[in-house]
Amino acid sequence: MSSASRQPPRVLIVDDDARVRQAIQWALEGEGFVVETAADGQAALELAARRPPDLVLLDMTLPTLDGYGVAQALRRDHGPALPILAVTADGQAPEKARRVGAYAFVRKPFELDDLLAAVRAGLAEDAGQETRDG
Amino acid sequence: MLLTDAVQVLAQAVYVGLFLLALARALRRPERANREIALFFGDASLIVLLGALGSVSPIGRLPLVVALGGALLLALPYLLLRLLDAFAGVRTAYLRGAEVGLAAVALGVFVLPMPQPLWYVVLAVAYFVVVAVYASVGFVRGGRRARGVTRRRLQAIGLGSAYLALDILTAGFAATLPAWAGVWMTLGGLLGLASGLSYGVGFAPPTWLRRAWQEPELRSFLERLPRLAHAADSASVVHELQSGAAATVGAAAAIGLWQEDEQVLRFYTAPDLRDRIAAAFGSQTTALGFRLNEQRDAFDLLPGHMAAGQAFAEQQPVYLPDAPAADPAHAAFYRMAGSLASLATPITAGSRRLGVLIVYAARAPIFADSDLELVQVLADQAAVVLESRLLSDEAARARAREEADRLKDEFLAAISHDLKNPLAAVRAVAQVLERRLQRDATIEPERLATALTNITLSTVQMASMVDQLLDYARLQMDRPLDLDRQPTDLVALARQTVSSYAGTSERHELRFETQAAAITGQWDRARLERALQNLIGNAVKYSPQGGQIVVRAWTEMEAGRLWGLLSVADQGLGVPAADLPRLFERFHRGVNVAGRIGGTGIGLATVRQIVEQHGGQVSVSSTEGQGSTFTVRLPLDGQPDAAPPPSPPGPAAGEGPTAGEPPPQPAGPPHLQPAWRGAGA
Repeated sequence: MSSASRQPPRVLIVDDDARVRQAIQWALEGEGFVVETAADGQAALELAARRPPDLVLLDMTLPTLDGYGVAQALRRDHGPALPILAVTADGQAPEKARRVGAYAFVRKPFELDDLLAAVRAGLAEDAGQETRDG
Repeated sequence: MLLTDAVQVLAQAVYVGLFLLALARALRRPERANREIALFFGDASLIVLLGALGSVSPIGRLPLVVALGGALLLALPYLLLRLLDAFAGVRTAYLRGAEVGLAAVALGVFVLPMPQPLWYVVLAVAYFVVVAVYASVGFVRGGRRARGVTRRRLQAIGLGSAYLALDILTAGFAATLPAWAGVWMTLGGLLGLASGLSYGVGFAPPTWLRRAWQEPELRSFLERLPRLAHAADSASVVHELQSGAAATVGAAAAIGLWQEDEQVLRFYTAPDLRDRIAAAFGSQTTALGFRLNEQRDAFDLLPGHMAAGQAFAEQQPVYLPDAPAADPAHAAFYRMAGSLASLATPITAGSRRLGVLIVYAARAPIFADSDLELVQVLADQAAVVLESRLLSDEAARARAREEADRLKDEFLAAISHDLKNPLAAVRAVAQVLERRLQRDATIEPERLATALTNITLSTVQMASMVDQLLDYARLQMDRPLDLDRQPTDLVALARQTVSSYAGTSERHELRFETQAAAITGQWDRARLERALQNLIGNAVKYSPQGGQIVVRAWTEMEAGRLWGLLSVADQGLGVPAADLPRLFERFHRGVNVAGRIGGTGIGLATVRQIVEQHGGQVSVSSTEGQGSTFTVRLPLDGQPDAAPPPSPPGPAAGEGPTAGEPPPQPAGPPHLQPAWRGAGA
């Protein structure tokens, strides 16, 4: 929230469903975030490598490289501090999401308010840990 | 001479005892062989009786009675020859010759004076010995052709006959060389006892002896059993048991396996037997208890029919020495199968009825009791093998059920996952718009249009999923789809479906190719569209790296029918060869995608259901890592479902490829090869 005053936070949305991707993008852009999107894990990792995001919104069910694989690769490339918010459509995913180091999870279909709150919480935590704005 | 007397009495007792046994058996089972055995020992016992009469009563010493005793003695080798004929066959000329010889020597007994002339004694003894030795050799030879217990028994009978011949020879010496009478008498007594005991062993062997004789055959059968543990299926187990039983008994053998669910005995026989039954009995087949199933190498028999069905129904052995006579209704079958003598015994493990073992041959077995005993031992062994086989099959079925349950759980998880994506999109888009309106009440028209389109498409997607679920429920219950057949153009349908997918993926180049202007058939448009959607959806989903997806439509003549074909080819992950055979089964997903790419595993099962209900087929060719091509074939000549094509009404009832032309449709002429290459659409 404090970060919004200076540079807008960069959020990377990874989801293979184009409509879900677009809806989240609109919502986040409406809140002033800079948004990038990827339809699969490979594209996500490439984007993240080019310009490290402040937060990754990661769908757990992806073609080829699944959400868990993407999360592990992100941890490897960007360290433990990068906040990953897991988005899942199945009931058992939350534990697994936590195991790969997501700080929170949101279940589809989500309430937009819940999603935005989770994103803000992740960015605040991130800011607190790295003291980027300090 | 007390010892000589004792030996003689003992030999006589053995003969009389054997007669009583043979008589009892002949009364119980008046088959020819049993009658002949009783006759032979009856004759011998009568001789003993007349001899005994001579020593206690003057009547026995009357010349006529003594002569009668002599005639009966001379009849013995002839009866032996008849016995051999019943067992192994004797040339008719030899039988007639023996009859003439018997008549001649017997006549001599009555007409010649009492100390008979030497030439007659020599002649009579020679006749006896020649016939008895011939019979002896015949039994031993018959034994060489048989195996196991039967062989040993025939050998014993042959030996008994040889002793009998020697016995008479000593009597001849006693008559011609009276100086040594005592020696001859003693030797004759011993030989008589030896022949009696040999006959006893041959005709009525004690149980322990039979067991010992059975042992080598049984062992060779048992040695086959361990191999059965690796047999691929019940049919191979049965085949192995059959050939083992056949080799052990020395006759043909068949096993009928009880099919609990169908209530029939299934025989895995020579491949052509089933067809021969169908050809030979035609409409009577069912009345005779035969059921001809789909498997070409097996036929079914109802319990209660024929020796096998009767043995199974009554749970006790059935022996038909002359099956066609005993069961005239099935006579033709018995002759066809070369099973004129049948011996059937149930295969039962505890109280579990597993089937029936039948041993059959063109000729009745020489010792049915021995064979029956052996067959029962084999049936018991077969029961052990078959039961363990059934238990392991049941365990495999239970595992398959668990697997199906697991797949069903995964399906439920996947379908809820798939439904939640469009739900999430709808809710998120709606809430974004709501938020906008609450803040500043302006939304750019383009964004609003996109948002509304997304909502519409998501609900369309969900509606289609619900339809799929409903069809899936029908698939689960094995209920047919209620097809809404109407003139449907495959070309238009494919073009439209392809274009509706065109915008959904940036990585894929989606193309439709055809040369046909239209391919119109009586089909359920919505169902075919869903089938095509599933195939295109799969092509997109399973080629995550992108690439071309080409949909093609064409027509083909095959088996005198015109088919409309539709194929969807991708350059994606492909299907592992091991998954190909089960690809169209519900819930089955390729090992290279399961757990990685979301999916319910019913898409292809639905495609198959839809296509097959149209009377068509769906097939796949795929190379893992290079892509897959799914091809749908739909009958174009308007025949409903998969029924065999009835001849179309009208003057030209279809013969030849051109007579079965499709109903009027604007499509080009049917080509055997698709002509779409290079022709964009």
